[in-house]
Amino acid sequence: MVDAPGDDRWTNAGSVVLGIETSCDETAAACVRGGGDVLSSVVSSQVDLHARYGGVVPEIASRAHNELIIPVTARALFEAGLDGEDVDAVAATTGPGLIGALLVGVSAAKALALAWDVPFISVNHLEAHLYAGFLEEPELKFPLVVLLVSGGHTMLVLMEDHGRYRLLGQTLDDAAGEAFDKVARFLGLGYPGGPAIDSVAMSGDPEAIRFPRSMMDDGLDFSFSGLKTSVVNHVRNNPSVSTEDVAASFQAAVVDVLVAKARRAAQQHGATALALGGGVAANSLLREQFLTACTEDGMHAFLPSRAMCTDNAAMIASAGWYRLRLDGPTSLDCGADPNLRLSTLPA
Amino acid sequence: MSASTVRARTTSVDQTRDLAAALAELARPGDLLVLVGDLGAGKTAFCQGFGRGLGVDEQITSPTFAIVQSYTGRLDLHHLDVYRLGQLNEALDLGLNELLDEGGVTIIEWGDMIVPVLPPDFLEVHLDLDPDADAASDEALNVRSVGLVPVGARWSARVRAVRTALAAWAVDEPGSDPTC
Repeated sequence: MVDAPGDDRWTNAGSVVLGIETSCDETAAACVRGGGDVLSSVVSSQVDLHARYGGVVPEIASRAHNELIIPVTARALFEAGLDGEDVDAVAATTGPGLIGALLVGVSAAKALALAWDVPFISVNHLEAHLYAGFLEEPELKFPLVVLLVSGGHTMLVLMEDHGRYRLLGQTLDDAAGEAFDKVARFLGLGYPGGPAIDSVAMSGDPEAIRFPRSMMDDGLDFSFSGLKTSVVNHVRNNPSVSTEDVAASFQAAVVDVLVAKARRAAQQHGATALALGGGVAANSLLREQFLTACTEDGMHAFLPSRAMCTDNAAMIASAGWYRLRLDGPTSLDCGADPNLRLSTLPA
Repeated sequence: MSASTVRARTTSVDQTRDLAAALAELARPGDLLVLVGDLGAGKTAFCQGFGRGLGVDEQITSPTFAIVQSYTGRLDLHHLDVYRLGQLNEALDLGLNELLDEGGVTIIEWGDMIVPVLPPDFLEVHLDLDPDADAASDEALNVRSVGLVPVGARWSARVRAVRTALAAWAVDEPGSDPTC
């Protein structure tokens, strides 16, 4: 085997990467040809299993991944009309995520790579989210600013080229999706918090309560912990307040900050396009305001479909194809890293 | 809370961070702190200050998603949030004893939920919203009462040092002897 970086022996337009994703509560597998042509994408969500606990329970997640990983992978191959021998490389998320959950996907991917004698590729889950946009819009041009918002992360990333990123800003405390989950739990709206608040907020007044827009004029970092505390304080002091109004006003505060900062980041760094990524990108108010802002600024906006915003394996296979091209195969000694950071250039 | 409880009061998130940073000066390898407090009480802010006191440069964020986040400083900091664990035996899978043996300091948010599987020595830190806070005053909403309860000999031996380190935020306790 030739292990030289940049070798395109495995990454030509016809090569197929099988991607596997098990970092949190979705067991997913997908086959993607040439880094962008999605042949199949199978996602088995565990949301129902975790709902009664108000969040993802790590041990339940690991056990469910164990049960689902083989049928989900087999399904992805079947839907793509492929056999194992048609797969040119196997990519898996090695972090960040829950350690027990990550290990299930990493072990399965390594076993398949070894059995089929093809390269194994370690993929950073955050890098994969950046690639989700390209799967639906191959014409996306660099430099591109991505607002990545999920339950575990909130960051603004400048993509200068494949594999070249600058971290422009990130949350200093809670992730935006985490704030949604915690506020939803506090309001008794259930899990997952994002869709619950989104739907209740539809019948509330977003201007009923003026919650703080933390760090609005202060750089490109985010802070949502103070907002969460404000919601708790407001409800404790006004027990008869309408839950709909609280949800709508809270959501408006989060979205205002996310959109303002994404917009500023794009302007400051001369981006030609702005893209959304991560589970919170499914929020309807965020999508609406993001699109309005981009139209006003004459910026190309990219809003991935709901299926591409949330965790899936097609983005893992796509990022894996580019990673294989840049770095070559990953050693089978590679483990999972729950705190893996996005490898970035100095800002 | 027992007689060895140290009581303090902070009036802003920054003060909670400063208090935690001062406490971190007393940290020793293998120390364990358990944080108890409601949503929004300032548990993550406390960890941010404590990390600053340990010389952690990296931004300390909420560990709710990953359960465990580790940082490098003068002493390493392991920051856990066990709110999402479904059953007590899952806490055993966290490898807590290994983390403690590695020589860093471990802080567990919502750690009171897993007391049965904790080692016998730790400092329990209670962060409480001021029960008398009145809606009319924004300042009052930021007030936190902080109670530090040593559990086991390891922290009991340091109560006087803790009192001294946190003197700036001390709350006078009726009948307590300030010299002990």
